Amino acid sequence: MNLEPLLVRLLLLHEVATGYTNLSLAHALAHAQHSIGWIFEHGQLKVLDPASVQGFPTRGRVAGGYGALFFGPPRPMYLLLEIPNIDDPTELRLAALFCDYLLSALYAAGYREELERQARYDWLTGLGNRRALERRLADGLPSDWGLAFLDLDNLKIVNDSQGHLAGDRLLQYFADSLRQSGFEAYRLGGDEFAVLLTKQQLEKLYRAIAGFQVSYGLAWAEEGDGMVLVTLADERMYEQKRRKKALH
Amino acid sequence: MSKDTVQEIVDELGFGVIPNIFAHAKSTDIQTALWKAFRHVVLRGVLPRTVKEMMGVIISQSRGSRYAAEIHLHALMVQGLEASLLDSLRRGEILPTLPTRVQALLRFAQSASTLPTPVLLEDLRTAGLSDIEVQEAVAVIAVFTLINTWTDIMAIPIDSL
Repeated sequence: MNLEPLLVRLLLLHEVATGYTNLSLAHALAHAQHSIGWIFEHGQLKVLDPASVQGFPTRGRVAGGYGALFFGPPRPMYLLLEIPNIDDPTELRLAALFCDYLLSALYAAGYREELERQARYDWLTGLGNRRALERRLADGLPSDWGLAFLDLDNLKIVNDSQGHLAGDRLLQYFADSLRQSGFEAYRLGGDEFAVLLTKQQLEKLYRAIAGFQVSYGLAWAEEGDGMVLVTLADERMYEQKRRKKALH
Repeated sequence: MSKDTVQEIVDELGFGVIPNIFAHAKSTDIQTALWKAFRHVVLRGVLPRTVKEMMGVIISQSRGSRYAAEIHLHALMVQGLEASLLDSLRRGEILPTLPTRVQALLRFAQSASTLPTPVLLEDLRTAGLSDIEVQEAVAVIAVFTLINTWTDIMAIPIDSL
């Protein structure tokens, strides 16, 4: 066996592997797709839907190459390395090594992104969570922007009378309505939501919440910074809620 | 010397020392220019750094410049390149057993370092290199030519290896 080209290819493989450091999942895949040609002449990396390759091994040699199943997160995908001379045992071992590094990078990136997603997004509605809003407000709002604090009045009644699944659906419908109206919206917890908006978008907000029983309060950038806006809008929401109760 | 540039060199090369090529620059601007050119073309980019270092050896050998040739031969040796391949690079030979793209880039380095013409790009494209890879290969020639000129005329001593 000629060691010179093999050692060069191993060095290139090492370089590909170190290049995965801190890449996002999408960038790690792109890096692998770009780099594979440096390790394998005419090699290609294809990312396939696992459903389209039923019967392929979870990990191992396939016709014309080498395959490996990535289980996710975020979702399973099948990595197919097309390598013309995979019958050569050296090529097979290099392909297995290439897959080892790639799978490690994808799992690291996949779990990192999943943790980031969980830290920033509300799992039930897919909206940003309270922490995401705090970070967003820390960046400051332009002068004509503000925050609407929204509270679903009837969530407890729905939960008590129709069950918590129905309550969850109500929260999801409400989040969908805000999202479909194009608002940057957050779920702060329980039945509380926040929307960032301009004064010109107030009418659109009223339309978005029209089908729901909601109390709301508004606060504008000129009245304060960061979480001060949330507190102000929250107080105004409670004033409205108290007035509604007094009327009934 | 610019503190930021020095820190960047130490951090990114990871040797804990500033190589003579940068250390001998008395002007912050020149030091930064040399470092940034090397950093953005050789350390970063889409072509593998190993191949760019091999190109650097071939370019420097072709131009009779010792500094970059010795430094990058040593770097390649430390990275695990086999002695016979290092010897062939030292002699300016391109082994036919190397991967096709690597051979194409080394041939390009050899030709372009002494007679740079647009015709040479055709071989790189035939070997399957993308437009951005071809451009980077040209930039590698330009940076090592700059390095050779700087180290030769300034008689910069080779770092203790």
